[in-house]
Amino acid sequence: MKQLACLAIPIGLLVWLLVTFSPLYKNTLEPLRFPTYPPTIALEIMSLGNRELVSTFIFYNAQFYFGEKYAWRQEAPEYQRLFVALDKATDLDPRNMDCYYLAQGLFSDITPAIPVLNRLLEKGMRARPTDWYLPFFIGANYYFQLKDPVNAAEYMQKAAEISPDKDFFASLSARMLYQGNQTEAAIAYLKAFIKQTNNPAIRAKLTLRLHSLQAIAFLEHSVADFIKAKGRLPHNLEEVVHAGLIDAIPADPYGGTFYLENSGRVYTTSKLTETWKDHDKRHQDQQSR
Amino acid sequence: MHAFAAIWAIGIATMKGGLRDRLIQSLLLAGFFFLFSTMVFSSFSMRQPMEVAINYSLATVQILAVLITLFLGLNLLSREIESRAGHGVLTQPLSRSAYVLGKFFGLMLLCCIVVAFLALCAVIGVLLVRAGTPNAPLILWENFGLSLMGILLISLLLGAASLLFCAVATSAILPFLATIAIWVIGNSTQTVKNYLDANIADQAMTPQLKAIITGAYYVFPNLSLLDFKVYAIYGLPLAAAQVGFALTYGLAYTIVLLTLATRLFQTRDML
Amino acid sequence: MTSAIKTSNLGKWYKKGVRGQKIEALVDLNLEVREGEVFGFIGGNGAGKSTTIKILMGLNRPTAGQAFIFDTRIDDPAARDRVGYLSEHPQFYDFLTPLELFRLMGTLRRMEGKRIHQRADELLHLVALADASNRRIKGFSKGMVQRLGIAVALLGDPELLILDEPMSGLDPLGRHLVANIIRELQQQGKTIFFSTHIIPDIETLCDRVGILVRGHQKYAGSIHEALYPQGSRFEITVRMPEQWKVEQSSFARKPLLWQKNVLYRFEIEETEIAATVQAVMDQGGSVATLEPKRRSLEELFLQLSEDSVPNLGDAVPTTVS
Repeated sequence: MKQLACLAIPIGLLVWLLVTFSPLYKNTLEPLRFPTYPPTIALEIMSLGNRELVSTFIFYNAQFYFGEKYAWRQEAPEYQRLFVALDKATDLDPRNMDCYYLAQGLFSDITPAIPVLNRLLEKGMRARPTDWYLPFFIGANYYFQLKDPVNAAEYMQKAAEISPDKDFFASLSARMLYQGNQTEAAIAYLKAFIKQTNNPAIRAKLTLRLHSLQAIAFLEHSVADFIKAKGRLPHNLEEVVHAGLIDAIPADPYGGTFYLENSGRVYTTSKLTETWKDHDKRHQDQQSR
Repeated sequence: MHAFAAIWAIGIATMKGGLRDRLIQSLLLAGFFFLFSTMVFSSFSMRQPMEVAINYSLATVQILAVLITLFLGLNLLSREIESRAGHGVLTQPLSRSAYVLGKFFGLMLLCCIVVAFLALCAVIGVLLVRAGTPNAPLILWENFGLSLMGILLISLLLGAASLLFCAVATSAILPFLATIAIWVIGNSTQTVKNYLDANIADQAMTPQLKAIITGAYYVFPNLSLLDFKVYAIYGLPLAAAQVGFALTYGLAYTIVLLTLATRLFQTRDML
Repeated sequence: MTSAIKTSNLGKWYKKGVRGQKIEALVDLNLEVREGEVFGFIGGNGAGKSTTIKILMGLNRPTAGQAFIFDTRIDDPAARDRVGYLSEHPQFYDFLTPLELFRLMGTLRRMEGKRIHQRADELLHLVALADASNRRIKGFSKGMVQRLGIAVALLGDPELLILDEPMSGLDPLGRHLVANIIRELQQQGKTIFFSTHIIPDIETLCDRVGILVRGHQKYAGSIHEALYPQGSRFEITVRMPEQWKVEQSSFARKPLLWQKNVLYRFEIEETEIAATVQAVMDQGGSVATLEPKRRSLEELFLQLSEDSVPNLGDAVPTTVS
């Protein structure tokens, strides 16, 4: 009887503590920071002959960090540190495809990051010469972000040579080269990318972009219909709605507003980049505290 | 003829000691659980669950095999000499060399058993992952086997090293720490040499330091040579000459350590 | 006749510390143990007994001189073929059972499997460990391990037994067992060499002794010659009539050791024995005991230690007042 009490009372106390304090804990989260890893040579020595495993650990850490920061806390991830970590991970194991995949998912919509991202992917191309994804990624980055169709075509050609899926590349390059329709091509690329990922945060990030692009494609189609009907470019998108061609202008998932350029292309004020409304202020608060 | 019987008998006794050691048993059990968690570990991979599974299981086998070798060296060699438990054997009509070789033989049997057990768990773990992975890439089992062979050789080499340190040390912990040092150094000489050869560090390094590092590269065992894991993980082709060279290197180095240990044990005063 | 153990100028010194201070554990030991005798090796702590035994058993290497067991140099493992050894604190592979241990040791002694089993059976009964023959040694008590050590030493039916302090860790029962075993083995013609500092053992068991003082051999020879030197005096205890007065008798000049009631104890010369006994009987008394005046081993030690030892000075700390 005594023994039972000795066990029951502390267990009861533990349960009460957990129930009471776990919601409290959730609300007062420590700021989540991504670590700065030691130099590659130090990592290599510390790995004690398990370079590939350490590389995998860094990738897992980056992946979990991004998932929690982006999808759960909805804060801006520390992209710079993430990139450096993935660079180190791929120095440790240049064949680690997970790292290249994550890097492409994270940085392919950050235009200033494209040159370093492409350099990272080139490292992967050297280590994985039979992997068509890597030239495919580089080509896509050249095309969509750097607006460099010549280089893009060169890499897409390399990807097509080693890819078993010839049809996909045929339709993609048709869209890119002949129709000159960037939006359609980008949608095709994103769909191909999303299909391959099982990471929910990456999927969420890319789906956001896909939906935005699909909205743009939808608007551009309606503008084309307007031109066909009226023989002229609409002054703005509202005119298309008034003409009864569409019900309403869809919302930009990034929070911007779609507008029409003189070229007939549709753009958005968000420029397809995520804005972190609360984050910066909260971050500053934490810093000043 | 008697020497062989003596080596055999001491080896078998040593093996029993290892298998009855609680610490070794718990490490083996840990290995069992680790290797069956391969499925969980590899499930977080986005693009290469098979590669991660092989990577994780081989790394687990390697780390546990080395840890077990280190503790075997501590419990069955250093402690035996420190605690005088070996006196019973040493005062029998047999040479010191037979004693040293018998201990090594026992260690070798244990390493083989440990690596075989962990390898079995690893293979089952990898097969489970493969069963759950659609379009799983082909696993090069011969490279997988060679990696295990390399791990076994690393264990034997470290076992011989700990025997050598036991021959000169008068405390149990010293050979243990020295063997760990050999493991760490042996895994990094190639890295540091590559770093030097790439001429990245030319400004920061004096020629003397460079000479010391180059010397260390040739004196200490190069365990990176015996590491074939990457060939198994990514199914890369492995040249027979490379395998032959590495295995010969590992064996030759082990024999050198063993010969030195035997020599030094000859003149050693037991505690 | 070959000698069971023979050492010539055997020496052992260590270098200790950074400055390499030389510490002499054993100096110029010339020891001979004859076949068939029980030889006691006596000395205080740190006298060099264990060092000598470790050298004989091949555990330590001598820095000077040479030693032979049955005329085989001790650096040849074959020297230990006919030797059984029991260390002061025996320790065995405690993960084995006694039977497994016997199998290992027997194999190392080139015994056949059948013979090992037979001997193991006999010996485990002898040392009362038959019940524990399949239990791991790890769980044994100190006394059990000691008894197991005796059994291991006897496993190969050795002609020479080297025992390092065989009595020190034992309870009275164990001591009795060891003493009995030693006597029995001596009757079988075996040679026994044992070190000890327990004095009663020596007198009752040993034929000859060697005495070691700080690494130097101070005495080797018959235990009786050591304790009862030639031409020594005797002590006689006599019972005299009640009215008898020592001052008025012929004993007045003899040194009286003690007196209790009618018992008187005198010290006499060996040559006086017959005359004294005659005188006692003449005066109406009787002889109660007559025994040689015995030097205690402690006295002997003390005397040997005080003898000039040339390099004793550096080992003895000088006190400054």
